[in-house]
Amino acid sequence: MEERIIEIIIKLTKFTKLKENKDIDLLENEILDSLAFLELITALEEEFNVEVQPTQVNPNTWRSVEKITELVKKLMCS
Amino acid sequence: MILDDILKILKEKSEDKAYTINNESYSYKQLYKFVCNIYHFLLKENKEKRPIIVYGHKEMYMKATFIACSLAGMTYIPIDESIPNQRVEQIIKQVNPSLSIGKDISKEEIYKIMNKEDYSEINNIYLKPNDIYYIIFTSGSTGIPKGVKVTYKNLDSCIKWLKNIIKIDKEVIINQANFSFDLSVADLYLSLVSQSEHFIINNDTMLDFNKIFEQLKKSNANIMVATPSFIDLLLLDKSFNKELMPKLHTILFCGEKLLKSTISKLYSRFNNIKIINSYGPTECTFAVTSYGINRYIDNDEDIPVGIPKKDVKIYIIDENKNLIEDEKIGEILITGESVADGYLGNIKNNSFIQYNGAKGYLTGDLGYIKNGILYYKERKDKQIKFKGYRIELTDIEKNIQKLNYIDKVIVLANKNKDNKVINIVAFVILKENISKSELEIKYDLKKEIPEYMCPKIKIVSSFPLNKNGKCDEKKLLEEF
Repeated sequence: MEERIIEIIIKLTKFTKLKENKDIDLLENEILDSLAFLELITALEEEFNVEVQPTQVNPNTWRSVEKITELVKKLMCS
Repeated sequence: MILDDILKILKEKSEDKAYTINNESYSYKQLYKFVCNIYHFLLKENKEKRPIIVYGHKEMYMKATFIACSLAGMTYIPIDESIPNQRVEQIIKQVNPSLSIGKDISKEEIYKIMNKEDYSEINNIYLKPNDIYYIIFTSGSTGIPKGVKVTYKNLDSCIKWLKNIIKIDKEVIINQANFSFDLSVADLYLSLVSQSEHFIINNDTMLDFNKIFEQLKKSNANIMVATPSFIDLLLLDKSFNKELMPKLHTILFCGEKLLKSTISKLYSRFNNIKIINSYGPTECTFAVTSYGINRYIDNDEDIPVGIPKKDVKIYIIDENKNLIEDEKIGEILITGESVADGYLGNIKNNSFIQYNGAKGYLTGDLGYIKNGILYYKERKDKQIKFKGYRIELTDIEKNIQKLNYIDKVIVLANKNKDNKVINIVAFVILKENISKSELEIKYDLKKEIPEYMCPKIKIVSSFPLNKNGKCDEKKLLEEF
């Protein structure tokens, strides 16, 4: 799943180095901005058949691939 | 005119809220005090009535200074703090202001000045109808921002038109845009002429939804002025609905293309909401057409941007400025009371023209008219809309080219299936023997252009060419 999420983020942000560098802070390094975020949520919802409610999510989640993956896993179980 | 109305409202010194930012509210009585103090300070310090720069990020003193400048007969230039210093310098050089409030006069000083308790009243409005009310800078294709001179008559006509469409009186209006973006003109002045509360959403941390939603709830707002992108972001969360904002009855959209998906989602969350779409470049004072969007739209139909306000005319023309018949696509030409007084300085342009004996502006936008209603299609040049901001891709290219280690650069917009820009990518070729990382280039570029204009940087060794030997832009975007 993590790999698929990385692919989605790369497609939206054009940040190809994410594969080698998956611990990078997506917000600090301005990889994920508000518009990419909009597309990311839509893509996650479609791909994994989940519903993401941004107000229910700790904003720090959007900093890392790992945390985003955790979130999706959690949502898929609920 | 609107300044008479605004001064009359201020002089009532009501305890009603005028401005709310970061959980702090100011009444109309306080606002009047601020405006009086700044007005008399400006009359004393700026006897020649030269332009005034107002620098900051949505603080109370900014709005108070705007009003004080206008009453005192001075043009103001709003600059948001997100604009990088070098670009601010370019603006200051062009404007040659008498004072920069928030800069030469620091924030502490202006707060001290505006808070004096023994102030003199305002008995004279100095601004004349043809005087320049404000100058807002937009992206210019030469790499240097260009200032649009909007007159008092332009603004007066715009605000009266908006008030007539939205029909508000003592309500709460939400602000999204910063003040160097002319989307904010609508909420800045609609709130004043209707004695409403201007509620500022501070969205420095755009992805902190809890903080934004908390502010939205607290606002108890009736009206929002927003870009479609901002509302799309809010719609991501299901709790953006009638329960969160029970009194919200109108959303005024401007700044970019409104999509069907946004409209249908809005209607499903707020069943009785009034959605107004509007259209117009900064050069024509916020907007010139508007349209109440119905909840039932056919899938193959475009979303209308609307019917022109009474004192402007819209023409669809070809390259020779001949009229094109209805339903055919051509360039949108606007004439009439909303057309601004041109650009500041001696900027060469073919956009401000005379047409049928009236002041006209060639927008560079392509569109068509059907049954008297205007529809927007796309730009005819390399200008794009990103997060509601208008950006010339060549402006970004020129600024990247200025970095002395860059050999070649091409800036492209990456669009999604709705043809909406989701990011901007700069493909650069470095000069020989230069080693720079993409992040380093971005860092250097940020000193030159605002954050929202900064593209993703991709270092490449060459550009793919198409059959004609030109850079194959499509391939470039696909490959990366």
